[in-house]
Amino acid sequence: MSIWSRIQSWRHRQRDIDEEIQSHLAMATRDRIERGEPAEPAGFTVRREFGNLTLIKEMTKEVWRWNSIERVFQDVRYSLRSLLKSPAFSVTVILIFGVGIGANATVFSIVKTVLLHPLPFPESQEIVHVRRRTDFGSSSSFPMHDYLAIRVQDNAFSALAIADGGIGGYNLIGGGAPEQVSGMRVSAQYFSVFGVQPAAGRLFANGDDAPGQPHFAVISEGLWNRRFGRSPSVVGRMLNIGGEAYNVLGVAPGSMRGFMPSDIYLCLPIPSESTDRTNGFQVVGRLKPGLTLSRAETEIDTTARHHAKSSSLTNMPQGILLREIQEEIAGRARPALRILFAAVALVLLVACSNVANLVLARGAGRRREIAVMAALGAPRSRVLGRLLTEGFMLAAAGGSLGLFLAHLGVRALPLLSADRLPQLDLIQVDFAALGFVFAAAVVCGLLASIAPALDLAKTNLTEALKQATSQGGATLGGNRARNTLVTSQVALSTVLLMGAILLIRSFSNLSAVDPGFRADHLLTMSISVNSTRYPDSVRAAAYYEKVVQNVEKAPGVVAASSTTTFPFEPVFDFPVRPLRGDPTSSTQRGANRNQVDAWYRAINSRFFLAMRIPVLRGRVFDEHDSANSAPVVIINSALARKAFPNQEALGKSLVIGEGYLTEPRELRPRTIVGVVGDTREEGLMYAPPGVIFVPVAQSPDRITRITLEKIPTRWVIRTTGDPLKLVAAVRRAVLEVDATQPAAEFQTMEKVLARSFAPARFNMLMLAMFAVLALALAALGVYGLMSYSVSMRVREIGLRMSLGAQPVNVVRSLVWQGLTLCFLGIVLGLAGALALGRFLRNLLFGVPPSDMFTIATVVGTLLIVMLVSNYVPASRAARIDPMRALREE
Amino acid sequence: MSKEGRYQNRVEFVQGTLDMVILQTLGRGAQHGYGISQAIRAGSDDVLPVETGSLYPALHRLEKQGLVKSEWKQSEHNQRAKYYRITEAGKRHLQTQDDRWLQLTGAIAALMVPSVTKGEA
Repeated sequence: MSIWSRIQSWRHRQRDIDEEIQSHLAMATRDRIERGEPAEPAGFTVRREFGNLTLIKEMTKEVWRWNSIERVFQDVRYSLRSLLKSPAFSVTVILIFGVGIGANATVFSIVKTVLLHPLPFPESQEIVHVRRRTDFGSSSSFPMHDYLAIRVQDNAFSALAIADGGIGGYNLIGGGAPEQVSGMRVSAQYFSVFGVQPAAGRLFANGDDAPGQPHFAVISEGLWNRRFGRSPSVVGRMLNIGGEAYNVLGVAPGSMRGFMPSDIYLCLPIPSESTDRTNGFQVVGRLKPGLTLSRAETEIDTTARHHAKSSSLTNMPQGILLREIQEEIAGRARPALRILFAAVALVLLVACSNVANLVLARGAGRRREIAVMAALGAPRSRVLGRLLTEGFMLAAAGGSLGLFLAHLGVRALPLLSADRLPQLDLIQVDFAALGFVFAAAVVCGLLASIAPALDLAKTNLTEALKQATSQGGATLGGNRARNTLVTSQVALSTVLLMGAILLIRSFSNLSAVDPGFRADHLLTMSISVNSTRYPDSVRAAAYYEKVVQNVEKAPGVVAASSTTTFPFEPVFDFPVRPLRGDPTSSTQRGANRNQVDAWYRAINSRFFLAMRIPVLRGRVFDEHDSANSAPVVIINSALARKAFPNQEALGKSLVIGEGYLTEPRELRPRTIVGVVGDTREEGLMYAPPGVIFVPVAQSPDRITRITLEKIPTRWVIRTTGDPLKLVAAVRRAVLEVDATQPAAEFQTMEKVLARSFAPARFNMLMLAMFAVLALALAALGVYGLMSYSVSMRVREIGLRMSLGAQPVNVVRSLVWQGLTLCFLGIVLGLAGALALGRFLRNLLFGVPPSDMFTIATVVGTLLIVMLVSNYVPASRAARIDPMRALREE
Repeated sequence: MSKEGRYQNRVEFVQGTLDMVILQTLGRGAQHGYGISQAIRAGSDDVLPVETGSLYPALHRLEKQGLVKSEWKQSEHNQRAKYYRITEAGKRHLQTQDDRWLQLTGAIAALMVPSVTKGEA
């Protein structure tokens, strides 16, 4: 039997029962009349004898119900009708639920993707980063020499691969106009580590990375789409990549974007021996199935330590540790996301409490309706069922709205996060989120309707029926529940506001930090300089100098310079040995004791002018600082303090790169000709590191070659107007110097800077939104409570005013009563916020969790908001006409 | 008979016995709800009053179980009424219930009699 025909037959049955009982009454009446009773009293007696007509009909109909489905249908229909009758109430509740659930589903989607499934690879928990133990913990940068040593260990990994940093830029010629693409060089097992299948052709296989093999390349699915229109003919094609011919073997799947995204992958030839100890590589591996991380770590660590004993070239004397890559990604985001999730859950609580209050208020007006329902024979469970049905229907509608809002919210995330959230483009509202929304809606429905339902179901029938007017019915118990709900809303939003303001303060502290250079009016770009075309420092310097001169010819350009890396970009830590004017220290002996680490930058003479880094003492480089002149350096004052404590650094000299460089010429002492201001290179929250600047022409060839191979040369260009307006002119100017070397990645320095504090900004914006949301809901709750209590007390207020009370005093006393609740909420909220403050500590910068200014701001904001939300409805009391209020019944 | 006295002499239907009594009544011929209630009351000398609140749900329960069938007919007073008729299944059910009833009453009688004598002793 179909549901429809069941409903039909059910309807028929209902009519049937009504008729049957009607005929019973008719026959009984007729009998009594035949016995001589008068017609009218006979009808009454029969009715009375029969009993509760509605209840009996209901019980008889009950017999025919199947699975209580009809009852649900009936309740749904009833609830729908009742909700449609008060559209303002329904829309408000659905909106509140929708926003609350939507915010939660958005954060849930982020958390789920970032924390639970940060990598789009099969068995991604098996993929590990191989890291060197260091004095400060561990480092993922690895030298080729050590990779070759651990590679022989084959008990731990089913696949092990080495890759260079992943920030390389290559000029791609073939299949369209020359363009600069991102690329990385990886060993043959790289794709096996991630367990991916090719989108076309094949990926690297064992042996492809043996020395003497031809140049093999794999391109990304993104590049395949963009440049080759997904044509299968790209497989087997020869492409000119970075000036060399590569044979394209196949296309890597789109999921490879999930970790160190790259446009092209070049097969890195693995030598059988290497003395290269520069930490320029990353090593990734896939654990053998079933092997635990710690077991694998023991194996590989033993191998590493064993090797370290016999090798003087090793950079892993303290051994190796392994870390799950998904854990590395999730771990960074975890503290902040936990806090966001907790915050958004608080918002949902405020929303539920708000809805519960609305339902309570509405329930007060419906007391009579319910009482009538009960008097007509509806069992108590039935009344409860109807109320719960209403709650669930509202929650379901709110949940649907929430799902839609979450969908939009996830789309809007990139706007907030400036793409620094890991795996941002993988985040979506999926089935798990759907399940989450469903669960949230059920909880909301329950939370919001259980209190009002209990309140209504214990309603005293007779009392409610006796109250002829729809006024009154505000029981003491009901009011206490409403007061508690409002207090909790104020308390919860206090907690959120406190957190938000702390983050806003941190962020403003962070952005007030002087980075040490002027980021405005500064254009940045990259040129992937071909290291075969410009194989040494002299030729590279000559090329750069021509680019500087040509770019500076463009109108609007003030100064231009190349640099090894941008601020906030990972760079080489370079050993520097200061010569402190004491001749014995210039000998090799004791060299290690005096060495300090500094960041290395090869630059042009105009660098400090372009960056607006102040020159504190001495001079900047000029055209006389050539490859053949005396070697010179400029250092920043942080390095000056570190390398020459209590001494004047200017005029002293230092040796760079001991342990890496071999040419005696490159190990000559270099004279310090200038000391410049510090820049906060490692991020605005950290102290400035020591930096050493060298003219490109005097940069050791080895360093020039390594940097050219690994990273495109970075450029900074100071402009008079909007930097982005100059992009076309600068691009042309660069191509005029060498048509094979295009410039790319044009960006303003302000954007580079903004990206460095994107996570702080993201956390701040999210928490601020949640706090505003919670505050608005709490204000709504306070407003509602005050309106309600004014409307309930019209008679009392009218009486007081007719006895001479001034409207001002009446309003003041009402507002005061309302504010008392809010005070309680604020105090509770502050206590909660202070208790929870330690969880926020890691996200704060320059402000303690119990910051007095923040507390004052929170209390002030809340008081103003609460005062307004109490005053507006309370002021209506002043307009009550005493005479009308007293007459009203 | 005083109101109270009447109440004291009334017997509550033991759970499930109403079904049996209805079937028993219908065994004498088709009857409508009102008729059934009158017949039970008359047949038990007013000792078994049938609450309409129990009668109609019970009738419909029996119909749902297939123990009775119903149809609308004209009554003797030319009024439309719904007549219930016992089915074959109903008769079989009544038979087994009859046996169980005898067992039950026998057992209760056996329990009650000695206690009465004890109390009097």
